[in-house]
Amino acid sequence: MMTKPELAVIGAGPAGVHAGMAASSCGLDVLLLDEAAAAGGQIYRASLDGPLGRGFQDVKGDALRHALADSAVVTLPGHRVWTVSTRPIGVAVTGPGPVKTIHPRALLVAAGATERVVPFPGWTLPGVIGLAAATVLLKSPGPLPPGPILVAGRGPLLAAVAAGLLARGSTVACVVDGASRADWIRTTPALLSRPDLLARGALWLRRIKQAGVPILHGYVVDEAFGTGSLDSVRVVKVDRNGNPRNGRTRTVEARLLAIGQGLVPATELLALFGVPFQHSAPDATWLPRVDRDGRTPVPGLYAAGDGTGIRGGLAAELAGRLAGLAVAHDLGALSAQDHAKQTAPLHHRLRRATGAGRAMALMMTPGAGQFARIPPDTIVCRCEDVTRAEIDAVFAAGATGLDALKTRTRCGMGPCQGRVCGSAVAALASLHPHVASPPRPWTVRPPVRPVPIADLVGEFGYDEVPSVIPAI
Amino acid sequence: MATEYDVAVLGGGVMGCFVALHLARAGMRVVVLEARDGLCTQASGVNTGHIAIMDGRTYRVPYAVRSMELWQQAATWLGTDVGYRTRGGLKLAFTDEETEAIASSAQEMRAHGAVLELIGANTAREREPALSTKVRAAVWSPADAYANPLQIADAFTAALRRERIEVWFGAPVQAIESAAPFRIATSRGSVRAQRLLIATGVRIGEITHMLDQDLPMVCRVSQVTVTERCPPVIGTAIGSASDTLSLKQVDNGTVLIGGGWQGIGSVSEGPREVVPEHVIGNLRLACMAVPKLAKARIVRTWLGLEARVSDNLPLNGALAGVPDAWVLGAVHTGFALSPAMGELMARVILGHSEPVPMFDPGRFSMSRSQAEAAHAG
Repeated sequence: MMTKPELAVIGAGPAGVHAGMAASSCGLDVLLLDEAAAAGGQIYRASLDGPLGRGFQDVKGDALRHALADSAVVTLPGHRVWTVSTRPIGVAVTGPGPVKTIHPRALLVAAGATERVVPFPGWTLPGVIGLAAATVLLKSPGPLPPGPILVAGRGPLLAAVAAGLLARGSTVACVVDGASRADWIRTTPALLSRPDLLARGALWLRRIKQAGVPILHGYVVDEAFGTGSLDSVRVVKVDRNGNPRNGRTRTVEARLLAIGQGLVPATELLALFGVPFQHSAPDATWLPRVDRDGRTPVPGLYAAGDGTGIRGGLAAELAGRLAGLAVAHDLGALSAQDHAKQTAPLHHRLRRATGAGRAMALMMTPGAGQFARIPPDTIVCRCEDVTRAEIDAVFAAGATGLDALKTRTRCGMGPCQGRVCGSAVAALASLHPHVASPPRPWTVRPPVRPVPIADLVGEFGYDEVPSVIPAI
Repeated sequence: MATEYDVAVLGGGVMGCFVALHLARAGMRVVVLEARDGLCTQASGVNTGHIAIMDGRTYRVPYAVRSMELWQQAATWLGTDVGYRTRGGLKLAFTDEETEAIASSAQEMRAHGAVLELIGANTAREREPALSTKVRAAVWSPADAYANPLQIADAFTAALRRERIEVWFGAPVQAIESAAPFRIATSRGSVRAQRLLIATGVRIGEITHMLDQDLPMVCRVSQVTVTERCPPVIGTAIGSASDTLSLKQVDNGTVLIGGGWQGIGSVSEGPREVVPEHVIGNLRLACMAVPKLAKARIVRTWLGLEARVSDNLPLNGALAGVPDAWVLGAVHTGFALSPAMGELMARVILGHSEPVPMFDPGRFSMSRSQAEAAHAG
């Protein structure tokens, strides 16, 4: 088992796989870790199904997995990082077998993204799932939840999920697109560099139209209703800032609401390593500092893919390759000359892919109005049942930052450690004039995700408890 | 423009705050200078809140007993009970040697006023059914308790305001003129005070250095781990013969695991990172005590910087060589003992009590110039 590879890559999505393969092709020993059983990340998650519902992503995903298998990259599926060390750089992982710490010469984090959550009344009802979660459902075996299904949110995933559900025989009540027709027209020029994406999108839209499913443009979910589980959803027309417009609303019967409010980079690992972050207003989130070759300011630490900013699958692949080549160069396996030669075309392609990817990402960013409209009795922190009213009360009483919110309400102290509520909490705090906008986020501490104590302690006897001298 | 106070308290942690309250109630004009944006943000706010008789050496027993009395009355003098709960404590022995050690320790401590009972494994399991069969014996301490450090900041903020104690936030001390009245320069202006109390925790050494006094400070970086909310499994406050475990389940169902296991950090960089092997060691010890804990998931491990001096005994007394300057801090289980330690310091400053020689900061004392002279000679 390699605990001291030359390069360890965390995350086997397109960025991580391409980074690993690029470094490996330069002769480096590469170890690729992922918590899933197979490579592909979320975008190319391996379908457990048969051919039904196979499409574009599966073809690309299979190609990715085959290329990986043909390479010299050693994979560690089913492994999860729970904490890091910085001197020397390393990751502590759990997985089948005892916990281990890996100390590579270089570490590349390609941890991808998570769903952005915008709370609304009824969002915690059974029957409300995220759009990305819906794509996981589509790739899983077994029947889908019963309809009617309402698909809501913004961005390309909307049409993909609606079309995917229809292909699986589900009843889709309605597609509720937060982007107006004008928003799409504005975005299309940036997508011209990706005729493949445009074609795919057109195909999804045709399927949706053919099924007779209405598409509401410029509408967002206002409230989800149900006793015990979802029954219906009220949607409302909004302007560019997410504020209601014209008073136009509709109530749609639905048993499942798949709602997506965009993605945010999963940055816990980079934060634990001490990578500095900057807030990006258009992305409405904090982004880690990474150079164009994937190097972070922390020596030996690299990053690529959606985990550094949402730019889509193609940009992730190209950024991954650039980062893998940067590692190879920095560890002496690739001359400066060869490095420059190989990276130049990749930089060019990445610029173009980023244009399209970023345009789609910006479309997925909710307007400030969507947070401002959250009613006072709506739960914002679902781990600790903290409502908007309780959050506002803390800031009204004079708190200037998120730490006071934490100690007074336990918001951010539950199992999600702010991953789910973080966007909403920051947006709501910023509405108070004496709070910095954006407020400094909570300090990230390990474990990266909740980890069962059994996985950490393993089998042991008393003599395997390290003896430490107490300072008493 | 500097205003004159009877005492300037440097550091708004539990130590400084307790003394500030006492002195204000005794009629002194008090100002608290705090470097951060709030009170009790450092060690005072991030510890486990464990309050136990047998948590450490014998010298601290009378202070633990007195602190528990004061904690129980917190609603009257602090305005809130700070989540104080008496649960009883079990100090566990896993080997014969450990059993002997806790037995003799308990006997010593009884002589200082502690109520402690050496019990066998079966009795221990009657009190705490989830205890493992690996427990050989335990000492039962009915007074053991915990409080909630997360509540202490708001409690003191309100209490200090009620006593009209002035508090400067975001005011780290930059310089001090030696002779009383002290003139203390901060980033937000200067104050003048007849007396000085240095209660700046891990920064005690920085401040005494400004007064040409050096203390052998040590900065500990202690790790604490918390689980998600769990069904009730632990009802007492658990410790170990090794003095490296504090384990309890608090009101909201989360389990707090500590014991002084060290992470990485320093005074200058702050708490930096967790040492995985020490989290695992701490958790293994916790599972030795309560095997069921293995089913729970941890959600966070954090770090707190704690001040110590080289002999691990508290600093509670006059700063040698500097009249009217006092030092309070570097107390093992500082949060737990803060009421009694603060009370002692206040009474010493007011001249109502003699200082305790064991806690005398002067026990190390050699000013920089004396030390240099000693080296040169």
